[in-house]
Amino acid sequence: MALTPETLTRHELRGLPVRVAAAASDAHVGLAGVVVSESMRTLTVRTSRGDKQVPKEGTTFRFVLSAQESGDGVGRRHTEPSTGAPRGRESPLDTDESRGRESPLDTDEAAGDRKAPGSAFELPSSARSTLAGARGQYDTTGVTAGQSDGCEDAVSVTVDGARLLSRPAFRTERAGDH
Amino acid sequence: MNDAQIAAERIDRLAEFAREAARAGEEERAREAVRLARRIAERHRCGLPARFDRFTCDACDAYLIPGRTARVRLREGSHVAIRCACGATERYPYGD
Repeated sequence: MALTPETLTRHELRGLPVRVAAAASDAHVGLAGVVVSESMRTLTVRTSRGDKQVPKEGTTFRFVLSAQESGDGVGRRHTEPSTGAPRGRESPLDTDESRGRESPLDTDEAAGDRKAPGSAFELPSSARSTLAGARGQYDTTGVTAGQSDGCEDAVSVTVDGARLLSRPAFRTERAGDH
Repeated sequence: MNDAQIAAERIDRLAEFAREAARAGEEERAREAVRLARRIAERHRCGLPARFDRFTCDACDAYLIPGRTARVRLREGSHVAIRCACGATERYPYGD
């Protein structure tokens, strides 16, 4: 039960491999590396070309959760995400429905497109309520998980950066909502 | 999974992150992680693991590496004294 796609927005992001799938600024799109720092409105990503500070707002992040990482903490800080070649923002991830694991991490369809329904724990993003209190604890609006291509035991989780807008120390309490 | 569990896991991850950062020579990153872990423990009233407590400096929040950023001395019959590079000393009783 550790760091799962459901809990990612409320969990610790430092040490996770991440790729910027879409961003307001072209300069940020495609950045890949490891999260080394977080502030209320930004994430700092260690890339091969230095540390880059990326605003959360307006950015879509793709985090990679590997099986052992959800098991015992942060393993590899300085490695690049174990995803394959850089992908465009619309490129679909590999789907693999034949893998019969019982884990809810194993979503099948709907990977790649962050707004598409159909992941195992989806809430339709149109269900975004205006009342902050109406959100459930496991509200996963703006969070989509998919099988990562390139690594068997990795799950890539696509998160709308707006879901992470919160002071780092408060993010667990506030479910990623401001 | 409730907040308390996530908070405890975040603290564990931050401790791990801080240790790696301190070993890599990035003391400020480590310090940031230690401070955040302390803040989370405070917010969630869940305390900190004993190991985290022993390996961080109360005064400057540094993650301590014995032999590099901390000096460890054993005092006969009573306690362990750990002196951080910042000069602060912490004492921990044996068997604790």
